[in-house]
Amino acid sequence: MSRLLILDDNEHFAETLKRSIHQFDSYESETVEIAATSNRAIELVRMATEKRQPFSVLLIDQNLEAEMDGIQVMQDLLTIHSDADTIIFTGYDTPEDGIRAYEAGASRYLPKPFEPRELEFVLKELVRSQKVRINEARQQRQFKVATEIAEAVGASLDLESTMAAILETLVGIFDKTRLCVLLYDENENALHFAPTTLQYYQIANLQFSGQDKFPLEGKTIACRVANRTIKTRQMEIENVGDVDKDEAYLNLNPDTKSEFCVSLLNTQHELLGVLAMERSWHNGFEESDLALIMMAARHISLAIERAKQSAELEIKSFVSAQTSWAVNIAHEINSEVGKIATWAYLIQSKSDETSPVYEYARDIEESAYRLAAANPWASKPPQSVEIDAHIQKSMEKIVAQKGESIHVEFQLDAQNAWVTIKPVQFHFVLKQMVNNAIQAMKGMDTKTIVISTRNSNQKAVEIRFQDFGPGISEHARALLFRKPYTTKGKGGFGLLLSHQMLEEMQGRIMLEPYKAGQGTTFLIRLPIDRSGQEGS
Amino acid sequence: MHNIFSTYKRVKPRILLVEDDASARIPYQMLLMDWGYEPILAMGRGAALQEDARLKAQEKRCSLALIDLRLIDNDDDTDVSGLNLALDLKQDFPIIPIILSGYESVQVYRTLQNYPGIPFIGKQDRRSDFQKKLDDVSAAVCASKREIEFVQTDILDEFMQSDLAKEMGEYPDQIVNVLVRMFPKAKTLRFERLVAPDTTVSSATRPNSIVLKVYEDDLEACVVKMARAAKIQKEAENFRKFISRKLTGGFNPQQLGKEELAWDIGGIAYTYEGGKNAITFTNYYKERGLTLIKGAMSSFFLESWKRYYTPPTEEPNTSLHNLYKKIWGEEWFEKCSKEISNQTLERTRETLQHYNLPQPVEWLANKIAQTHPEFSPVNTLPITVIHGDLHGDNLLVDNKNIVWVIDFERCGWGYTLQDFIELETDILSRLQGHDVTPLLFYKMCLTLFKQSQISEIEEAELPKDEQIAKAAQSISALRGIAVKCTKNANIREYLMGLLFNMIFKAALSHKEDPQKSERPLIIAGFLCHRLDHWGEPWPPAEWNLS
Repeated sequence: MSRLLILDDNEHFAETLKRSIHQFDSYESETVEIAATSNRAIELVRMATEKRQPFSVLLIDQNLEAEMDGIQVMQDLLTIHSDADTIIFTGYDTPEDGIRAYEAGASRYLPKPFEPRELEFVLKELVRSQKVRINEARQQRQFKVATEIAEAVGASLDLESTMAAILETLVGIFDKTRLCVLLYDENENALHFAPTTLQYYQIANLQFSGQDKFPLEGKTIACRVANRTIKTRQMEIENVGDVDKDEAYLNLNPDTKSEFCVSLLNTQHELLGVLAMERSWHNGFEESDLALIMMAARHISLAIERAKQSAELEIKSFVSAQTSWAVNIAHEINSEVGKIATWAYLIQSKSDETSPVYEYARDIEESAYRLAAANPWASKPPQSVEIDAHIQKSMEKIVAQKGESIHVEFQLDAQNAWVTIKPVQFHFVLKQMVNNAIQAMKGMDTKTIVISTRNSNQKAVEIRFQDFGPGISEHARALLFRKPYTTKGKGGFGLLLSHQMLEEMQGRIMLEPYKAGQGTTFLIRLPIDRSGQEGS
Repeated sequence: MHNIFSTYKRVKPRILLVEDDASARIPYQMLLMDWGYEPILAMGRGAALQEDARLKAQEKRCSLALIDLRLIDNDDDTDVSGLNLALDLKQDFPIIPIILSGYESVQVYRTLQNYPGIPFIGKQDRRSDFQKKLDDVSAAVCASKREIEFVQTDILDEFMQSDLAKEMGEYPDQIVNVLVRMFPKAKTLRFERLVAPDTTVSSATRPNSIVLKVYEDDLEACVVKMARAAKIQKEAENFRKFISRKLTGGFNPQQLGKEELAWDIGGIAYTYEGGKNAITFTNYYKERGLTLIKGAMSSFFLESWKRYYTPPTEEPNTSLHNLYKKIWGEEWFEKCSKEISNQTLERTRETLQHYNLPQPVEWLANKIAQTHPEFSPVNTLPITVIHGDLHGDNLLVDNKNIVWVIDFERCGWGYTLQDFIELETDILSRLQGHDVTPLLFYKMCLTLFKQSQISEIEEAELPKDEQIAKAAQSISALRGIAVKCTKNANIREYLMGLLFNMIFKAALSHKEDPQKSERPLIIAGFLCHRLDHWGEPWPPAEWNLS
């Protein structure tokens, strides 16, 4: 529906015109306002544009108050809102004026007197041509957005810089819009602010300041979109015209009136996150915006997926390069073990079972196998274990070996959960955790480690290792599982290897957020093995 | 040569050992011997080691190979030369490679996972696990490592005397190994003849191959063919190309598993679902009356093979001679004439001279030498897909009178009428039997060769003598079917084909029993005369055969 402004110093004529327009059968107008002076017209156009309810058609008399030229005023008005259509009407129709009006940007030039039917026809025509123009403009804008985002995505493989570039681009395109990207964490089943997104998104409501996690069980519009996406495995949107009427809305910013959320999916149709946008007026997101935002969302999804893949690739290639020497040693050992075991086996097969040489050879053969089994890369078949009992047993063994004053406090509550692990590798990880803790608490008289387990919805077991050292610096946290980390100056592959080993067991290791005075907590998640549980 | 069926349990599987570390070769060699294998050591270093491995594998007809993963550089974790050798050996030879390695990183595991057909043994594996893995792999390919029994092996005796069996020399275990591979789950394999023994008819000659019924445990019988590996490969290709799901009617053979090839010999098995209690056409011909015989022939040509007769293709630059060369080699005729001894030719001389007939082998040699139009490459013949070896032992008739066909080694493009000619040759030279007097037999031939175009022969013209009536009537019916199928009534071409086939048959059966080739040679002589005097009255008035 159109919004019209009539600028004419002849108020009687303007009023008559307004009534006629309201009575048109085939032309619907939302509002028709009248300005008697050019200043008033400028003021009204400016206000409407700022309120994002601009006039679509300006009807201007050529001869205004104080000999002012309507064509000149039209030009001024178009500088405020260039998308408006303008109709100049005049009582002194000359060809020169007509040409001048068109040259200045008028859509129509209408000599007075004219029949209301004539104006109705002209207005209808304008609506039609306006639609064509808007479509063209929209396509151009979409193309521009696509190009800019694609450029931003292509510039880097790193998630942080890619995200920054995308947000920068989006902010430039969608003015007067607050936007943020929330990433989905499968293990926590929650949405987090993407890195760097907080530079573009501030939480004004002090009640929520510092909140960066939105569990999907919770009620927010973004979570609603996320939950639906997990179910449908499709891009889902929510366009809330008035947030105050939506009870799920979380009031992070009091001036937000409308919100638009769209889910981000990877190529396997899994949820990656949500792109959320807010505007400070009602029904802020129109049809024309939606296609644009959804396209941007697809690009962001792509960028996130690519960045994640490249991060994985980086760590994998790094770890494999760093560990190849160890593998070579394993090869040497195994080759020798093969020879020794064979000789020992052959001696046994040729000698009497009761003879000392038989027993001797048997011991050698067994020792050889033990030697081969002792290296962490030996590929033993994975095994299903009851996790609490397994941790307790392994830890006691490790602590006994260390012989330092370590106090391990067990808070094991995995509720008889069974998980599938590779025992040798898992033992390596536990040992690594203990070594880290000891290193962190160097110099302390009693070194306390708290090991707790928790059953997360029968889906996964969470194992937490907490020490009470000084904690890990912000900078180091970011690099922890991506570069060798050590406080000793050399080595530092332990956490990298742990990361890789746990990944091979379908598990994950991460660092819990820093809390003052609480040291460092590593969190290991392993999927619960249902068959193991039933088998028990 | 000892009979492998009584000794196979004592034959140690030959296993090629490829290990670059010389100090490891001896213990592994001893270990393999301890476990009942015959280790064959590849020697040398680097490329020479790999070359020696290929030579030894071939020379000793190894069934298995145990190959170290790193053959070039022990310190190079990208060295998977052993895996490459294993893949090459597997592709080029009938050998099962097993990778042996001390290298157990995640990468190696992932690499090996891409080749599920190549078993893997860790050098540090417990010796008992090592042995079990090796024995499990061997059990699939070596009869001596498998709990299996072969029953009624005496019917293979003749095959065990063939050139092929003799060529296998020290390694006849390939025969039992192929059977073990073909029947991976069998506990017993019982053999049975395809053709019920019949004193009046000999089996069709099968040089260097055998077709028999095999019963696996308590399952229904299947038909197994064993022959040179290359021939079995060809047969399997032909089966897939021309037979499997291509033929119509109630005929439905399926390949059982896949063809298995050892170094020298191969085997292929078919199930003939629905084809219960089938007997060979040879037996059927003996036991049944003319109507059923006619019905059986119609079933094969007009039902099963029907799709290939419409429409036949004309192939330019082709003659019978060329087609024979294509199948049997450039020298086919020279080989045939060498096969037939002078004594045999001498014994036929009298009969041939009596009727003033040319000696057919000479006759054909002259024609070929003069590149007579019918033998020259510019001739044109109608061709189609033919069975290529259609004799009574290759056709099975079941209790619903549906005809099944076996032996697809020679399937392919050939002279449209070739299969009819072959069956006619088989009726004349074998199925008819040899107890009929020569005079009666020649009389029948003259009738058969008299036609001016292919068709059924007038009832009145056919000989009435009981001894030959069946053969004459069957052939008459066969020709009727031939023209119905192929729409080709060119009798001159047909008789020429018959002549070629008679000479070929004479050569083939000569080896087995020189006497058997005499009658085909005489028939061929009559054919030469007929073709030489085309357009003249037949039979010549001076022959008095009454």
